[in-house]
Amino acid sequence: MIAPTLTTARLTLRMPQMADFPHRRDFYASDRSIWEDGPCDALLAWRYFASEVGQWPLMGFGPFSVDETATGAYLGEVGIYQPVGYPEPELGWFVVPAAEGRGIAAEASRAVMIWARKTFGWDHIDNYVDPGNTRSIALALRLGGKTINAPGADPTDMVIRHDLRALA
Amino acid sequence: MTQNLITERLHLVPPSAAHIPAYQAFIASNRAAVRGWSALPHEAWRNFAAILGHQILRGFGPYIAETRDTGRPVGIFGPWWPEGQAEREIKWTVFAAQDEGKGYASEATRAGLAHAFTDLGWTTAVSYIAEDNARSAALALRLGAVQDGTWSTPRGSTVRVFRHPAPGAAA
Repeated sequence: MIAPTLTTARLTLRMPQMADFPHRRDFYASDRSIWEDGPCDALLAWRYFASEVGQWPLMGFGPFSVDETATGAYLGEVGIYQPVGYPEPELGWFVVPAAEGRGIAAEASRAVMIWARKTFGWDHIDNYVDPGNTRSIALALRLGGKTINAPGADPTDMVIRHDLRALA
Repeated sequence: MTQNLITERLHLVPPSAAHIPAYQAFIASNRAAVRGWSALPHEAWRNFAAILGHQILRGFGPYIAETRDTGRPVGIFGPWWPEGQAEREIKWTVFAAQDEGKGYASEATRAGLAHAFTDLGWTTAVSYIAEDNARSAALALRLGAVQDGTWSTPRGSTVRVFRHPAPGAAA
């Protein structure tokens, strides 16, 4: 199982490929990754990336790379993640600096939530967010998520739940 | 598409969820600890997932060798090239002490080398071996590899480079 291709008004979501890695490497080299176990060197960034991609054959879900359809430009990644230790599948996102503030992560996340509902029939999906990651918290709430009291990936995580029942 | 490889006593198959327990048991053992590998169970799962991700991203990857008679996973063998590693490598890892000394590693690695040179079209291949890993160095020499200097990894350690002979090269 690898990622299907999903399309939205502006975006194409697809299976990650090797050419996407420099964006992840640069993200993990920067302070922008402090909420995602970074910063770290390229070797560890590669292991994170390969490990997430490897969830597709193991779990049947994983990361989608997000391209701007009109230009083909790589804008980021939105996906569903559940390595061992995560209580449930998690909805996560990352965008390159040039894609921030344009609603890219929100648009891609809606497509992934619809896909998850159609494919797995899940009633909900959660974000696990560090309480200091105000930008991601704001996006999760803007997408209609509600903060709930449940375990996340780390003991300090905020858990923000999205109701999928109205989708598809 | 990755094809299974068959040797006299082993099937080499792509890694799958069925191999996770054997891999986790290896990572939890002192056989992995002496190499400085993390023994945390969630790290083992993520590392195993990264092996599957390597296959997807590179278009090739290492195999799990299973015994042909019982299907027991013996170890990980074959082509390996994570980002940040200087050259394409042929790696080998035997999971359990009970499978050392039986020639499994050389049998599986010969199949992995043939796969890399023939199916993948590699023109050269190395194995990176720590200074204190005499057992692996001996296997490299037995396979016909010769030491070709050292590699200083981005993490600051130095490993020996053993270069394997390409098929048809003068011995």
